[in-house]
Amino acid sequence: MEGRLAVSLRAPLSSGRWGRCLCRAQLPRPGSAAALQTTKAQLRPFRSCYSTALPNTPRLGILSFPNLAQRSRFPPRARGILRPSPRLFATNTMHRAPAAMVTKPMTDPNIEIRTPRDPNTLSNYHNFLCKHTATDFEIDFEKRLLHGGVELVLESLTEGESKEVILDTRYVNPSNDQA
Amino acid sequence: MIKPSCESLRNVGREKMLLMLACSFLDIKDIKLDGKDVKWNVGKRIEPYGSPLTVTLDEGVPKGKTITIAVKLSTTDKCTALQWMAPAQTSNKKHPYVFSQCQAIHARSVFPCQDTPDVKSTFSFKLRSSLPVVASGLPTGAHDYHSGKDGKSGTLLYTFDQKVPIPSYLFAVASGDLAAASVGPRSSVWTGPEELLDCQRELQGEIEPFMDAVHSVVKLPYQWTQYNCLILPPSFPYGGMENPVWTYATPSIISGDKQNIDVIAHELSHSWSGNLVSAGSWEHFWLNEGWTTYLERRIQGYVHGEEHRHFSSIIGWKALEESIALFGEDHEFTRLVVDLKGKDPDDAFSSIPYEKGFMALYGFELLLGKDKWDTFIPHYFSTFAFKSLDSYEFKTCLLDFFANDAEAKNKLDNFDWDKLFYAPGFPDKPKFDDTLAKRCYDLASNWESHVTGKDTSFKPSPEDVSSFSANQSVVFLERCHSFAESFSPADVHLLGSTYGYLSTHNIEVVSRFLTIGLRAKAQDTYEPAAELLGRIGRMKFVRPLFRLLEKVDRELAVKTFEKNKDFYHPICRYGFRSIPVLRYETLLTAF
Repeated sequence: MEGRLAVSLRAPLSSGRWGRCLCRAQLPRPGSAAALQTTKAQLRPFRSCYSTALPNTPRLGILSFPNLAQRSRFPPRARGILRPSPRLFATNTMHRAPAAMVTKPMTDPNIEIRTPRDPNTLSNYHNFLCKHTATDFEIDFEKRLLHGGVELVLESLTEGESKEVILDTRYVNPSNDQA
Repeated sequence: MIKPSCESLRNVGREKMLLMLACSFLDIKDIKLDGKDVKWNVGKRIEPYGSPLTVTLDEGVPKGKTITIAVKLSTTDKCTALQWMAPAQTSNKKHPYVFSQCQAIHARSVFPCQDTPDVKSTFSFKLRSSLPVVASGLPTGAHDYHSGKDGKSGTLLYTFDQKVPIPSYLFAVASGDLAAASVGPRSSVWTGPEELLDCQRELQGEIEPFMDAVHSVVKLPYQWTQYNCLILPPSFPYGGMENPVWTYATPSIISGDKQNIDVIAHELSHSWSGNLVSAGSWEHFWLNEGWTTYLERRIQGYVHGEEHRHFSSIIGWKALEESIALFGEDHEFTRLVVDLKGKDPDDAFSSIPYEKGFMALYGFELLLGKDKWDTFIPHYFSTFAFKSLDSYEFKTCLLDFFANDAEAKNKLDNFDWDKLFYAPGFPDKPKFDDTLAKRCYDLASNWESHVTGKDTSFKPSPEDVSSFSANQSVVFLERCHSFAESFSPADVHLLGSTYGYLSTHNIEVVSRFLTIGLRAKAQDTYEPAAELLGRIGRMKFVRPLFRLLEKVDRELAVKTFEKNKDFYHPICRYGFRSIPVLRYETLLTAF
């Protein structure tokens, strides 16, 4: 798993900011024999993966993780046991906010692309921004749960381009129990 | 766990039944967009981030316009943010108790939200309960009594408002047998009725001097109107959490000598750094904890004197050494700015953002000189108040502020920012004033000579520690841990009785003393250790003491666990699996 590269297929925009990273491909380290055999076909499976690699692209020209490309996916652990964790796969399969794809023509010099800088949310908070949260719950000590509801007031940050609101949930699941 | 992705299936009775049966934790009941039905879908779970809930709009929304999404739901038994306690786990064992802990990314298990510190919203809370409720907003009253059915207790609706925008991780709620007492003009302490007066004595008059101290540095008024403390039941497995309006804290800070309340200085400082000016992602968590540790130590300098600030920094450096040793010096999570893509922020949690963050800010104080640095602090807080930022904005803000000061600019131009942000392992160690620490080390070396028989001239007397703060006693006792096995039971008794460590209510001190007793196999410390283990459930104390007790008296360790097993928090019980003699017991009882 050593020597993966994060590859952006998108050049910096004329505005100086970076566009959306279309794919995160994993390539062998440059110079290795395998690197020479990398083809477009190998890139294709990653096409549907939105950037989890680039929030550290140079926003101000000075930042970015050094050696991002060379950094091992398996950092040495002092006393830990190297165990395969489902988390390690999350980066590769994770859809980062598909609604982030504001489909303006990329040639527009005035385009504003907002990339979320927090990699630990699945929400598209760069398209809609929560301004008020109203929670209303009954505390049920017997069943050990809260029931009730939440209302989110969200402000649109795009001119109608985004037609989805994506929110984070965990162990909260769909049902249509109207009772 | 199979989590089907399904769209709202209204009027489909059979599928509805099937869904309900197949998934015991199906719990979003209905979603409305601006009062109307809407198409929605819960995607596949992507660990460690949960499942995205997608609400599909019929048409786009113009920029600046708002929409309202209303979700009806129940939490599930898998909810990672809520801790439910049976009456047996509380101190008077009469009523159940619940409290939440949403940091870092657990708010999403209570309700769907944009669960990122990069988004701040105002909040309103309506919470119905049979017991008093606190939440992370200002209380606006209790209303609308519902009488209970089938012999159950009636309920009141408690409401709160939070007009300062806060990130989702600061959503907090607690409910239980709570009583309150005033401890200052804008502060009260909330806890169980039996503990109330002790807690009030401990915190009475302590908050305002801390406020003055922060204000002298940050120059920005306290924004949250009230500052209250909720002292949780003793089985609370952690130290404290800076929920706005109500800080949540372990009862182990109530020591009877006002010596452990630096936890409160820390949580209060979060009212500025973290809650008002927030890190925009958990990768930049040091901006919360480093700044807060820095302000906490400025409070100590202001209230107790500069040498106490340095003493606390020395303790902090030791914590940093321990954390770096645990991860390994070249581990990613020992960087100031960590890479959390695809990772769980909880896994990166350690003292490093606190102490390496503190060292970074203290480093700027030394680099620029305290007078100049102190002009930047208010600028930083006023620039980013009510906002979230990352390390790069911090850098830009600092560079811009000193752009016209040739001397400071020159220093900052030559500053190695990459090293600061990305170098793993230790930062450069600053020089600290070790006046207070040295006395602890000197006393410990006297004891070492005494217990190892090298030098018999040392005669312990209460004067040795009469000027010690509790933290100095802690540093002294921890220094003694390195030769604890050399103590004879008589020496342990001498140490405890001469310095009052047998009778102190300060759990930080007594737990360190009992550690020496257990390691020295001094039998008269076994019972006090067992007694302490039935009194506190904070993991920091419970786990090391159980390990030591098991080594010297297995039977007593098992008996103590049996007696208190319902008292411990499940997270704490879960940790007992690593203690051999309790492993079997834990499996039998805990799950």
